[in-house]
Amino acid sequence: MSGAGRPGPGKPVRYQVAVEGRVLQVEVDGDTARLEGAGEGARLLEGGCGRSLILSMEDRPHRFFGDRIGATAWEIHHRGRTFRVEVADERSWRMRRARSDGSSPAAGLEPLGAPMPGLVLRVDVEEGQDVSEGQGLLIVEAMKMENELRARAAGRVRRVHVTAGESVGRGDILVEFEPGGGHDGAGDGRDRSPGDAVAGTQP
Amino acid sequence: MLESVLIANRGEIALRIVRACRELGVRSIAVYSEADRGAPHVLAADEAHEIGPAPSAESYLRIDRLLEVAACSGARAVHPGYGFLSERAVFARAVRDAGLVFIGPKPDTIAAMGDKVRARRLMREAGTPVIPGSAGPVRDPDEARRQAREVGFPVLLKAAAGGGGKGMRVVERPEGLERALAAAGREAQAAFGDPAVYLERYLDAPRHIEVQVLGDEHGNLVHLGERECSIQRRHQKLVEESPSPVGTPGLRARMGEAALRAARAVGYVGAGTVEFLYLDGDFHFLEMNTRLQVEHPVTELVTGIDLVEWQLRVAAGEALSFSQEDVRLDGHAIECRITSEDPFQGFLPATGRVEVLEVPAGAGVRWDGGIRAGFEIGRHYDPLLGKLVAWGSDRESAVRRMARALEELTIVGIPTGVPFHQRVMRHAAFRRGDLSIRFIEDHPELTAGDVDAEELGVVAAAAALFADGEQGRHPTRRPHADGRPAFSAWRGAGAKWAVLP
Repeated sequence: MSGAGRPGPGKPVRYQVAVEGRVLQVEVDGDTARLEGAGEGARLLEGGCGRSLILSMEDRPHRFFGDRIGATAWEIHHRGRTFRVEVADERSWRMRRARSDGSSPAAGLEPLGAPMPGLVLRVDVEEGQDVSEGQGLLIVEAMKMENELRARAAGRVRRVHVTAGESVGRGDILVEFEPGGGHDGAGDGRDRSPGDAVAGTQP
Repeated sequence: MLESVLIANRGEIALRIVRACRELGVRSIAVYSEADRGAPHVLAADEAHEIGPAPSAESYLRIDRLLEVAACSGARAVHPGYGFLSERAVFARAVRDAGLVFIGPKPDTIAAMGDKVRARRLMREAGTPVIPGSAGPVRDPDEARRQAREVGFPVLLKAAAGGGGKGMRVVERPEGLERALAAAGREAQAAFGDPAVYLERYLDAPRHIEVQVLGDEHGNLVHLGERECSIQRRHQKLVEESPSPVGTPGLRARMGEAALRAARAVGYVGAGTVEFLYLDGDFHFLEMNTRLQVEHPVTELVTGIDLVEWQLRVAAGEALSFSQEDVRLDGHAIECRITSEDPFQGFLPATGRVEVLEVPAGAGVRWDGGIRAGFEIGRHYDPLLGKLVAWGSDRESAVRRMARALEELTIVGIPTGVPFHQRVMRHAAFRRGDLSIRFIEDHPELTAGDVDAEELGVVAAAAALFADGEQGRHPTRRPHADGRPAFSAWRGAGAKWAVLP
């Protein structure tokens, strides 16, 4: 396997890749992608300007499907699983990071979006109500099953955007939250990933 | 043989029936909703008729439209598949009244077994053991509380008209009863058009083992061994196999006899399944499904008997050509239900377009699917995309073969249960055959979303190469010369793949 037809090394480009809550540094040089801290790089066997590519990593071939779903957001399919990935080259990553300081909501208080299209059967909370982590908020019926959507963190319901009997699409905002009931939502000092910076660009 | 069959269903089972018809020289007549215009079962059939909008209540559940299509297409028989109208006695009766053959048991049989409360009484009378529970439907929370106290918590609420896990709720404590009763009633109403719910004792971690029966109109009735379907979520089966890992010849004979007694009690004709819960050597009647089961292929692979073919033959009045002594189980078969649900998010149903579909092949592998690349998975129907079935000379080789086949199955565009099934096939408890209907809850590692570092590394490398390729930094990785953007939503699906050395 000689990578025939690929161009010689140009100027390597460094990328920040956020996947599954981790941020990894990848350097792309011609048809080779090298993971920081890893030994041998992954070599491109086929593809790279289409929707699929095949890599060889330590002589093991891997096949991927990729779909760009936002400015820097990708869905990468590998071995039956789809990963939502944020990819930024080094410069734009630094710029975004500088802009995003302190602007994203506290952990768990992000608005609740509909995880699938369906029919709202019941809404169990009202605006101004304090909710605890794991508390049932509303029930959405999809594919003949009732799915209870629960609060990811303790907080107060700021707005409820839907009522029972309403049809919702995937990603529609259902409930918004604010810190409440003694919950301290400020001072969230966690490390920001590119995912935070571009939150809201998902379709 | 029947001249023609109208298939009152969709998805993989409709295609399965079309295939059987084609092999027997029977004209197949498909129906479809607006959402299913390009569905595989439509494309495969000899003719196909649109019956209404996407919601099933306005299409696949419209008895009047189905009978209209049957009349204008000259259908001689109707196959209901599973789900939809398959267990509605009123449909079977309407089909018969229209002068057509209903491919299934008599309407009275469906009614008797469809009313789960009545079925329990019938089974008790026939001498088949049943689970302790309410003698009739529970009408209000007070009655539910009283009956639950009698049988003891935890209890299971079930739709009297039900099946398939819809309208079913486990209640651990008295406080949860009222709410669960309301939810079960609503789901039962939505799924079966009947809100009646009954209650029985919830057995702790039993196995789900069921027996396939097949009867004709000439009084012949045989059982085709058992299937174990313990791996379930929300009471819906995900992995099925035949024989059961605990299926000794002795147990098979006892369960087979109990299943035949149950079937005889209702004069069963055609293919049906008697379901049992099995715990420590004892088994209790759960329900009888008076139709073809989703998991029928595992029985077909170990018995060599084509169940859909025999459904058609029996419906045409033929007698079974074999007796109980001729039925032998050869080897082991496993089925994985491939659904559009995300196993790492509590099996949340997903919708979307199937962008890429590549199905496994090779010795001992069968794919019964209802999708194709480019097909849109909507929210109106069951999330079952297809069934992957593997046969081996023993359980161990069937498991290994299934693991291999799952690696080959590629579905891109929507989340599926494939990674879950891969974990199940590698799981030590599954390999030991140590199963119960609580298998998924007992082994949370099967649905934990963690990814190992090596996997993350290659995914990150691939993502960087995708992003880099889009920049067109390299001459060979520029966008297409014809001006199409390089990443236009999956264009050129399945064009050409390298053969790796």
